[in-house]
Amino acid sequence: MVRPSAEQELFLLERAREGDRKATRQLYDCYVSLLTATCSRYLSDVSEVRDVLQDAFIKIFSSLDRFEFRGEGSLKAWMRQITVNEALKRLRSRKRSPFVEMPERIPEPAGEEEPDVARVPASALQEMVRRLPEGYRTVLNLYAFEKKSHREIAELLGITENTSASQLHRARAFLSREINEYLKNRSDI
Amino acid sequence: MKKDWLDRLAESLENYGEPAPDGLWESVESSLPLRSRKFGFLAWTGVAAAAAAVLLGVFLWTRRDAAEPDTQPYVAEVAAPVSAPAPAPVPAEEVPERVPDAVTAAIPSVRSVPAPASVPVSLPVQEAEPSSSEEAVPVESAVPQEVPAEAASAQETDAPADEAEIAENIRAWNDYLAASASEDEGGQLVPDGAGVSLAQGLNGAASAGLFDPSEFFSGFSPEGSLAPQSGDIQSITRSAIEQAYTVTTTEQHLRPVRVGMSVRWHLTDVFGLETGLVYSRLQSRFRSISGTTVTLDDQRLHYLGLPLHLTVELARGRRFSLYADAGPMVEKCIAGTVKNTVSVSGIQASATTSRRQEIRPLQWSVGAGAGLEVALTNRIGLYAEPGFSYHFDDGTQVRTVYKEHPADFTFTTGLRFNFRR
Repeated sequence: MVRPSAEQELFLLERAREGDRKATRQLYDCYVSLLTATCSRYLSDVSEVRDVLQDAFIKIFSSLDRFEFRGEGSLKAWMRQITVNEALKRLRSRKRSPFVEMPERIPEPAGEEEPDVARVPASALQEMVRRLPEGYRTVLNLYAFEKKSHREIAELLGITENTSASQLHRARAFLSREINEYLKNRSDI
Repeated sequence: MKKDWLDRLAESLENYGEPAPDGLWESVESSLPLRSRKFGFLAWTGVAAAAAAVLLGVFLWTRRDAAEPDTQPYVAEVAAPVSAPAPAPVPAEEVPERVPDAVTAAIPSVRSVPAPASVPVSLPVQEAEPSSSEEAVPVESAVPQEVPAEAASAQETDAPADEAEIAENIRAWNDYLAASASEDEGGQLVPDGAGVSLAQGLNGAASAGLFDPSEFFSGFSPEGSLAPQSGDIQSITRSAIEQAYTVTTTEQHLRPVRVGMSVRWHLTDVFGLETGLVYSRLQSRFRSISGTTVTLDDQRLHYLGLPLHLTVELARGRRFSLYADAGPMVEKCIAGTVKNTVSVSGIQASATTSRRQEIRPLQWSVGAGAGLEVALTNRIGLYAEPGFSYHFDDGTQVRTVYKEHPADFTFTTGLRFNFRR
């Protein structure tokens, strides 16, 4: 789906706020694939992804009046923020925490080979992120994609900053190994 | 400064998209509230119309409850033709041909029953058949009523009778009473049956004073004892006369129980078309009292209806939907029974009988209502819908709540399957 320009987006937004269902549908079509991918990076279960997306879109379209348009990309960022919040809410509702508390700061693992991300297709990268253990994945998503600090991550997830850092550390090591493995296999072919 | 490879990873996936789960939009749309400003006026109009329909329904409901049960006292009709009877072996009673207007006035609850100007006498009295309007109730006759031919054949006249005629009437009546007392030795007469022919005569247009009406009816006291002397006759009250010769029918139509299974196509975000099947059970009770005899008919009819309603969604939440709808419905009576029980003096006289009640014509109606639907799944919802409907006459003589209260409050509940574009 081709993303609309800022003017087009504003027009659709106004119509959707008036209850125009076609405009609402167009906004949905513009962002549903992006938000599905975002949600899928947090949740591995397909039915959970669907439920969270449904809740997120209902929240988005029910609160369009409260959104303040601040130019291109602002609507996308706002929609993504709501979707991520809904995904985190789902994760927090689980009885067992996926995060292993780390009492001490763990140093950067020695010898982490920096992967050449540019040579890996997006779909493969997405799949590798999804294969990460849930605790690693969540922290990595918030750190890398939402640009949150460890303090913010710790507040969002109810963990310590050390735990956030250690989870990210392990996620990096896990992911870099995966990417390098992928590239190695590709070069062998 | 060299970028962290995690930043490059995020950039690679910045605009990455994946196919949306199937049916996601439908789920989202069905849960979206209607917040259209353009629809505002229509929505409020719809809400106002729905509220008005419900209020009107409640008004009719309370009005109807105040009127129930429908008590319809009236005199049973005479089935037999007015004619001189065959020679009677033993006269059971003698009927004077003239009754003062005062007697007629003394029975205020008597519903108009066509009455000939002359005194009608039927011999013997048969059990009365229900009238064509089915308002007449069975009137039992335990004792055949026979009237002397000369009394029965007497012609009524508007001209004042002369004294000789009056004296003759009184003499004939007293003679008859004396004869009856000696033969029956206080034998019982069942007033129910006697009323059929005698009551009909109450509408005779004779002038007052020709004959004492108390004397005339005194032979049929509520207890059924025949007065041996004319002096005792005077003690019989007119209320007893009314009781003995008036058949009172009480109708009670219970509000139908309705259960539906409907399918709604959402043509637009607001408007929809709905059909399905609606089952209705109608129950009516007819209670007829004639003296000590009580006849109870319990009628149960089962209808299956096919509605076609235009629906307007007024508000929608994640799990509920408020709507208004209106349209016609055609119903078919698929089964019906009438159970009949007769009791005399509070004791059931015979076993309860049951017969089938058939209604062949289709029952048409129009209705409007406002409903609340709670979503069980994305497509299936449980609804409760108060409303108001008008039922057209189906052309049959069967008395139903649809016929007696064509405009009435309704309440339907059931399951609904929703289909969206």
